[in-house]
This record gives sequence, structure tokens and C-alpha cells, in this order.
Amino acid sequence: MTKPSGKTLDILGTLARLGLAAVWLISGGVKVADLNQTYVAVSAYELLPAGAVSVVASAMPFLELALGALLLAGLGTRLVAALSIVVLLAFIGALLQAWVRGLSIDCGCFGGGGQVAEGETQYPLELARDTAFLLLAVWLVIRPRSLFSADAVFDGRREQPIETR
Amino acid sequence: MVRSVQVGGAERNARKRRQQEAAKAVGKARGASGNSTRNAIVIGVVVVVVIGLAVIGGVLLNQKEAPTALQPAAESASSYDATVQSGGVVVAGAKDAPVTVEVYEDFLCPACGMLFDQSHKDVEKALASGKLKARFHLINMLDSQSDPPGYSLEAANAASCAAESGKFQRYYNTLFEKQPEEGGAGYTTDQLVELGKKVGAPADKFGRCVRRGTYKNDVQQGYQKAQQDLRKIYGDQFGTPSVVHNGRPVEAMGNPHWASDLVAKSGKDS
Repeated sequence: MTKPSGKTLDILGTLARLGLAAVWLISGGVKVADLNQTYVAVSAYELLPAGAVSVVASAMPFLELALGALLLAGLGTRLVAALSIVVLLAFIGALLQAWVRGLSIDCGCFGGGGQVAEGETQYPLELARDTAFLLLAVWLVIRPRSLFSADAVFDGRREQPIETR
Repeated sequence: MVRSVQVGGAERNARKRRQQEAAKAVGKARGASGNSTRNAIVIGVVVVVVIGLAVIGGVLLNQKEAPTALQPAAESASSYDATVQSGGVVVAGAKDAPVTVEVYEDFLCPACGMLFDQSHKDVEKALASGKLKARFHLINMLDSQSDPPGYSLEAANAASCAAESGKFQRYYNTLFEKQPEEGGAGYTTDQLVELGKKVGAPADKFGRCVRRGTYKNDVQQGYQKAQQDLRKIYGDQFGTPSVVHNGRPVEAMGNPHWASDLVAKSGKDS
């Protein structure tokens, strides 16, 4: 069995990078479009004191847009992917505590958010989705190389990959 | 940089090894590996700066402002009297009205705003006719949902002050007609005081009542009791608005004439 070529892995890396970029840009964009709703969504987790809810709800959409833009450009991919992992772990943690505590909320990950009727929660789906995004980010930390990226320009990209995998 | 892409693999690796050895010998990071370390650091700094600016910019730009200019709602066609009672309850309508209904509302609750839009004209007519008495439980369930928090309590207190000054109907109508958005800033204390003056409440008395939060304790206690009462009727998934008659829920949402229907039905039953 032959290992996948560097080129194939680069293509997979590109898909991961652009996929994760799309996640952040859409997620951040929807939140920026309705900042009041974002506040309601964050508040519903009943995790932070009131002042912190305001700061987090204000900062989060722009953080997501910045991560998305950097991944789209492919600038500092490994670092941005590592930061993405931190943020996604925080989201997964927040969802888990809401589920365990019996809160009846919508995650607000792509807009919406706040209280929902019991039986309308979708914790397993939301957690699975976040885990999938997490895996994209993990790939990019391990192997940040991809095509059409700013990193490639600054690396002075050589024909052979530096890591031999 | 483009030309290096054309060079064959093995030769490139060998050259890279020689360069690394030379760089170590000299003790200076010059050549391909040094440049890429420097570039990595620069890129890292750029990433951190971009993210930092985005976050700081977001927080600064998002200072929530109260909705502007709280102008009073128009005078209503039919008018009723209201008095404030203990426990955060405002009783509206004739004291000897045959039908009494409990109405649980939060001034920030969007559904309560919708119910108001849908049915307030009918409710006011029923209250003015002397056939219906409504006990408004002004609760602060959504205190945490305004930014800054606490609008529900402020508004409930102010509306109670308005009842004390005999100006409840128009004040209540205004707060729902011009309802602030959930997750946004509610009206400020100053704006709530201004509104009272505009609907004709005595300025000093009303201003003191609002700023001192005279009825805040009552509202909060009323909310605690409301939770118990509503749980008995609706179970754990209670919310606002809730309309209750003789301990049973009234289907108010979706029925603009729920008030006159209730009066008519109760007349037949008794």
C-alpha cells in the first residue's frame, strides 16, 4: 500500500483549510448580522456573569470572522488552526455543560440561540458538528500545508514538503 | 523564489543540509532556514494582531445604546383605572367587575409585545366596560436578557410608579408599543422618568419613585410567587405572557378578542 502523495495531502489540507474558513466566516457573519440575538444566545448558557456575557457576545463574532479570513488567505495556518481548536473546545465545553445541567437551549452556533422547548434541543447533532470542525482544525495543526495560501508565498515553498509523512 | 521550485528533490535536500550546517557554524540565522523562521514569526505576529484588533474593535463598536426618544403612545379610545398592589401587581378595571383575569408579563418579552399588539384594544375596551378586572403581574423574568441587564425590573418598577400616579394605562401601552429588543439595551432610568412626565405623572413624585426603585422588591417577590403559581398551572415550561382565569390557562395568543370572549363566556357560565 502506497502512502498518499504530498500533493494529495496538500489538496486535502486545502479542503480542510477552506472548509474551516467557511465555517468561521458563516458562523461569524450570521452573528454580526444580529448582535442582540448573539447576546441572547450567549446569555442562555447561564455560564458567565452578566458583564462577561456582554463582552463575549460582542467579541465572539469578530473573532470568528478574523479566524475565517486568515484561514481563507491561508496566513499562519497552523497557528490559526491551533486557535480554532481552543475556541471549538470552549464551544464544545459550553454545550456539554448546558446538556448536563438540563438547560433547554439552542446552541446559537449559526444564528438563533436562546431558550427552546424541551424536546427541541439538538445537543448530539450540535456536538457532532463541532467535533467535525475540530478534526479539520487538528489536521491543519499537524499538516498546515495547502494550496493557494499566503503561507506558501512566505515559505518560499519548495518542491518537496519539509515534513516527510 | 519561483525558480527554486524547479530544482530536483535530492539535490535540494543535500544543499539544504549544507546550508543548515553552514548557518550553525557561523552562528547566525542566514539563508533559507533563517528567513523562514523570521517569516514565521512575522506571520505569527500578524495573526495575533489581526485577531486582537478584530476582538477589541468588536467589543468597542458594540457598546449597546438605549433605543432613542421614548415618545408616549397615543391616548386610547377607552380608558380604565389602575392601582398598584403589593407583590408587584397592578389591578386594572372596575373593582366590582364580575370577571377577574391574571396576566403575567415581562416588559422585555417579545411574545408579550406581540400579544399587546394583537389584543390591547379589545382588552382596554373590556376593562373600560366594567365587566373585566385584570391583575397585571409585572415580573422581571428576563432581567439577564437586556444588555446591560436589569431592564425588566426597571420597567416593571416604573410602570408600578405610573400606576401609583394614576397614569398606568398610557405608560404600559408605551412600553409595549415601543418595546426594546431582547439582547439589546433597554430604556435608561432617565428615559423612563421622562416618559412619566410626558404622560402627565407628577414629575417629582414619579421621578423619586423610579430612581429609588420603590417597587423593585415587590416586583422581585411577585416574580418568585408567580413562578410557583405558574408551575402549578403550566408545569416547568411556563413563560410569558400567561393569561389565567380561575386557575386555568386562557388561550390568548392568536385570539385578538380573548378578553371580550372571556367576559362573554363567563357571563354564560355564571
